[in-house]
Amino acid sequence: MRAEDSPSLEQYSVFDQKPASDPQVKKGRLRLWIGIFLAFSLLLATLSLLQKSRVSTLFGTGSVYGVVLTSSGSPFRGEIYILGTPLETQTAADGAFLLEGIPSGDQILIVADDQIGRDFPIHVVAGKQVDLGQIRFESTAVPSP
Amino acid sequence: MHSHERGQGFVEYALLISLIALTVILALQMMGVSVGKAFCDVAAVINLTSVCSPKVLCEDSFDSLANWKTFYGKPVTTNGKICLDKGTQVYNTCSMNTQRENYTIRLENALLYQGNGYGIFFRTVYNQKGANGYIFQYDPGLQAFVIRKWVNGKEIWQPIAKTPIPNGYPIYNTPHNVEIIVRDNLFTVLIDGQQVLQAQDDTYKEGGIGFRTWDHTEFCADRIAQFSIP
Repeated sequence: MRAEDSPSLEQYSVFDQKPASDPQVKKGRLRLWIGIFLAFSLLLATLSLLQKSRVSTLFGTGSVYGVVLTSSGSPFRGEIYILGTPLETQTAADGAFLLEGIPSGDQILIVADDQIGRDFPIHVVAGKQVDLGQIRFESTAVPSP
Repeated sequence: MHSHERGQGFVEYALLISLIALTVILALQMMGVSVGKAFCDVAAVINLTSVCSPKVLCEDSFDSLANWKTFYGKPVTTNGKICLDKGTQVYNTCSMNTQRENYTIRLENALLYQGNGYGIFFRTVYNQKGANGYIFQYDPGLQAFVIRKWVNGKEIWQPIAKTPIPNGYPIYNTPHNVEIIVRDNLFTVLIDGQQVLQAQDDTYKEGGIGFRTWDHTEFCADRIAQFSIP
């Protein structure tokens, strides 16, 4: 082959090659991006929903039990709540309580007399009864300030 | 046929843009960024402040107690002021009916004459046992500004935020303007325009406004308003 018949550099340049403008390829890419963002937004929506405490009941409920004593060691008579839920019960004459149907995970247990409540962080395990042992309730000497 | 394909392409592009917007909004929410606030920040930069200017949701100049329901105690209105003393708890029916999530409370000329302090409930609802929500306490009894939670009419003793009242602060017989900004899980309290307290909590999502006094308190205020925030 003569030198003048050889292909020029332009003919070999990869940089000047235009991308395929096949409409089907374009459409395929567009649909791929739609699929990616759809999947990503669904994932984020699911994670956002899981952050809401109400959904935690989907992962099951558990129970807690224990005994509440006053600062002097005598049985405490009062109310027990789980913060942010309608769950509540009362302690028995010996200070014992059992609260069932609590959404699993980290919760705040409130022990209250007729004036104030004290909060105790607890961890509830789905399908299990957690023994909280002895809880000390310190009342206020004066009405709430 | 050709124009039909082009139309379909536009729909797909619109769908893609919508999904990108949705993804961004969800991601911002996951990171705890308020989309409304971000929108208003941008609007403020391009001088579109009217879009996000606060609107009055409820207000009362205390000509009567028509907009207030007494849970206990004996509140009175006199000369355009509400006055509470000793053990009193009242709530604003307008704000309780709307049960909003985010808002600003402005209490004008709040004046403590004597006693251990007063409280302003926010994001609070009442059940048969009492208040469930938050309260800001102007509390010389504790020598502090305090934010607490209430559950079934009982205050949770451990505050979620507390800051000492500075020495020499004019606690009594000096009118103060109190502003509480309730946005998502962040609560900011300003007195006379100065931030005094901030708290973060996720327990209560919505609710109205109320007042509380205790012990030997004597307290009056001129006007209260609840404003929208983006």
